Amino acid sequence: MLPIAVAGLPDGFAFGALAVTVMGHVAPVVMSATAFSGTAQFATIAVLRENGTLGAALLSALALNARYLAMSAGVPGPTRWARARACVLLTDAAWAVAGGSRSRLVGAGATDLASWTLGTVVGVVAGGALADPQALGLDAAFPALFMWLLRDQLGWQAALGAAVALALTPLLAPGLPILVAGLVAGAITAAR
Amino acid sequence: MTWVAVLALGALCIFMRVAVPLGLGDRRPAWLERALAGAQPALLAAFVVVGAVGDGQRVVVDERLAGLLVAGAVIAVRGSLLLAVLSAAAVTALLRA
Repeated sequence: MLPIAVAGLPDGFAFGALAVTVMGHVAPVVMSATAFSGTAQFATIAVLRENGTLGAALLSALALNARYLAMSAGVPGPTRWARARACVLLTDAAWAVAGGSRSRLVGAGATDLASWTLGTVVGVVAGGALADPQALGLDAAFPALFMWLLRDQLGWQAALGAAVALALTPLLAPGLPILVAGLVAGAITAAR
Repeated sequence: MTWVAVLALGALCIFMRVAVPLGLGDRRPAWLERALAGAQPALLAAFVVVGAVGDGQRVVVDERLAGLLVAGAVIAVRGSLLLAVLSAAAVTALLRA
């Protein structure tokens, strides 16, 4: 749980520091606590800042979060309601750390939500006063987390997923290459 | 506009997380279980690639990649998760300084 908190705080800070210039002090915090999706939130304030339409913002959020559809499908639980409740806290890092355990998903998701929202509060309040999170190299923290989790699952599916994501990144909206990587590897596995 | 956007995005993000678990019902078919098991390593690898060299729709090679190579070495010798994450960040930060 600690690595998630370490990696989540500066992300929330960066969002808060940027969002305060677009939509004031309270809205960014409420957005972090409810939407709880870094990439979709950055995309939304980018659209709003350029005076884009709400529809364009939601469409980009839809594309960015389409991977949640595949990730949430495998969360275990006795009933659909138990699974759906746990999936409210679904994030990339929480899903990866959970490794198929519902209680770990909830614990990691709650940690992620707390650090993301707290980071947003600090970012809104402190703004540009603190150091740039990029200078601390924290954008390398999440990929390192995913690498560590992948260490015992190296195989053709991992190689295929990496190749698909790399090839599609320039072609599709961010988020979609990840979904396609999962769908292709899942479809081939099921068909074998 | 701001608050409409906040509420709409919140509703959309929650819907996208719970739609599939609610829609699937209480039992998953066997083929779906197999597909999900195969999708997991591919999703993880895709997160690694996008986080390592992705920048929106561009592929860029920068200091992150060096940090992640060091993290890869830590992982190869069975180092801890925290050590892998911190060494990736530290090497990336050092190269940017």
